[in-house]
Amino acid sequence: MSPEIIRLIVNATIDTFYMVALALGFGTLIGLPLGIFLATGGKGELLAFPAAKTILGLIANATRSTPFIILVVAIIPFTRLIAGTSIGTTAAIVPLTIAAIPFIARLIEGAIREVDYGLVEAARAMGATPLQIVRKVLIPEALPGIVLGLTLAAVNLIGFSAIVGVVGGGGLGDLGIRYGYQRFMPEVMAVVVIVLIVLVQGVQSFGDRLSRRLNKRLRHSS
Amino acid sequence: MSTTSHLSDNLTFRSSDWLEPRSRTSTGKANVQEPTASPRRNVSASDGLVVFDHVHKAFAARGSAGEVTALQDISLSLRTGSIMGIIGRSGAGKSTLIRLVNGLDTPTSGRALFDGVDVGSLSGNALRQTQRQIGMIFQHFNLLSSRTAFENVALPLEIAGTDKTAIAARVNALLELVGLADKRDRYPSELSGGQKQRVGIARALATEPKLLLSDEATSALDPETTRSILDLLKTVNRELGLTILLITHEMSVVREIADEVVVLESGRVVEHGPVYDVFTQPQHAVTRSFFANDAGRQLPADIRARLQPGAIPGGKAIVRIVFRAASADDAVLSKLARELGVDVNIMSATVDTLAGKPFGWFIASVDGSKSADEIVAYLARYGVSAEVLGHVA
Ligand SMILES: Nc1ncnc2c1ncn2[C@@H]1O[C@H](COP(=O)(O)OP(=O)(O)OP(=O)(O)O)[C@@H](O)[C@H]1O
Ligand SMILES: [Mg+2]
Repeated sequence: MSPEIIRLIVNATIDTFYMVALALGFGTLIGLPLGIFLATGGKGELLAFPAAKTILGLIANATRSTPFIILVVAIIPFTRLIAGTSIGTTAAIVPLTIAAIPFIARLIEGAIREVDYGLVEAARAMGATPLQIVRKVLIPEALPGIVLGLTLAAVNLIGFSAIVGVVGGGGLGDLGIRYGYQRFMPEVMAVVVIVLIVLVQGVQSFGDRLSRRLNKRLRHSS
Repeated sequence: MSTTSHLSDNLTFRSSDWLEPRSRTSTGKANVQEPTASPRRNVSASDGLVVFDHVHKAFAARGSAGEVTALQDISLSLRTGSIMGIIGRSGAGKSTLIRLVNGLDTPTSGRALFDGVDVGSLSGNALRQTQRQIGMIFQHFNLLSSRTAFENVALPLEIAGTDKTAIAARVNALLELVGLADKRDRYPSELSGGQKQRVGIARALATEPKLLLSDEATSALDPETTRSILDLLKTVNRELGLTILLITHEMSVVREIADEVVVLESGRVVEHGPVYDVFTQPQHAVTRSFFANDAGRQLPADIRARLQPGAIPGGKAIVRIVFRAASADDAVLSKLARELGVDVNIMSATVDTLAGKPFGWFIASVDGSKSADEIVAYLARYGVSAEVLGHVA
């Protein structure tokens, strides 16, 4: 394999990393509060605001049921508005983030709902405000689950980031399509796949380990 | 001046001497009781720290149009400094009742007063200020798994906005009090059930409450650990002057710790009185049923198997005779035999003390010409209560 190709692969890996990291970051920034609200906004719940919860839930579901490739195309005007262009690595972050938000929100909602309601009661009995309960009880107690959720989101984003390659998004997927498929260089395709596998494995085992470290329910951890 | 600053002044200045015996109560009270911005302060202080005033509570039944009545017309008063035990079967309404005191729930009608304030009428900040004067412990401890023992005890203080140094001093003193100073950096998963409950108690005491609510706090513990936890509760009651309202379904817990007992059944109070009286003279069938497994109150197995409800010609009546402190004169049994001309045969006897007063009971078979009711009536004249358990041939 020529040094030229190797340089392309290294750059594409960096691009993928960049897209996934930023999409995960922005996705979490919005997905975390959204997930907390979805978990606590229902009738009789902590931040009871059922109407808003229902509407946000519907939007989240609608976004999640739209196939990613269609989402990418459908929001091109929006992408152009945000990123100034609709092609390239930076532009790809927009649809990736949009897809990540409801996904992350639902995962975080699940993690928050796992928290024993007795803990919320105990905090209420101490005279905690709803926000204090979220900050001091729900988030810390759900943290191992949240980390696992974000790990899953990161893995999915790696996959999605390969799809944006189809529409000129850059990164490993783009490289695989352009060289491996269009120029018929199967060895490039193979390397791309291997790098993706290693990336996913790395992210997954990092997330697993971090989550286990944070989970004080397990006796052996410390 | 707001109540918050009162509380935190309190904490800062007295965090070190707070755990000293009693001396604090008067000054401490004056400090916390000052005008909380609370409406409807219309019950005099002499009414007790906790007062239930004709409390009803109904829940909307899930899936149907009807309602579940959890509490009906409950009126009770809990004296400052005392320990009240609420006992009842599962579903009797115990948790519902206790949750009205700290505003986790509100009555459908009637009022639950804490320190003269109708808790159900409070909301927002006023409610939270009141809640900080009430500690609560739970059957399943409800400790945060992500926090160490120290951090768990610190939680209510963080919530109340206490500053870090005051928190550290207070939490360390509390962990010392509950005997867990060496476990301060352990996570709940590394503690035994009894240790977890000690953390729970320390946490409940953190904001220097006037009242401690306990919902089945020992139900998940073995008998020995239960005893040590109850001892700890007694200690905090005595040394800190803390009033305690505790729920249990075990008579032994009430007996160990409470001054007064309330028996709840289907949302109603069926019996209420000093522990000694309720133990020695239970009035209600439900109350008696709680004694069913009490050692010493049980019939020998062979007798129980042969027991029949109706009188049997030529047979014997099985009677439980309870001697209370005032009547502990067992000569009454020989008088009974002499004057009524019956044979009294003692089958088992237990002598014990309860709340510092002696009492005893005998299970005896009585035969002869007199009916069981006559015997009971005879004993009653001497102030000795007796109960006919049945008859054997
Ligand atoms: N949130 C609720 N919604 C509907 N019904 C409720 C609710 N909470 C309690 N109940 C009902 O009220 C009654 C009393 O319940 P409560 O939890 O007070 O009983 P308990 O005496 O504490 O029982 P246990 O010993 O099992 O804890 C029960 O019939 C219960 O089903
Ligand atoms: Mg209960």
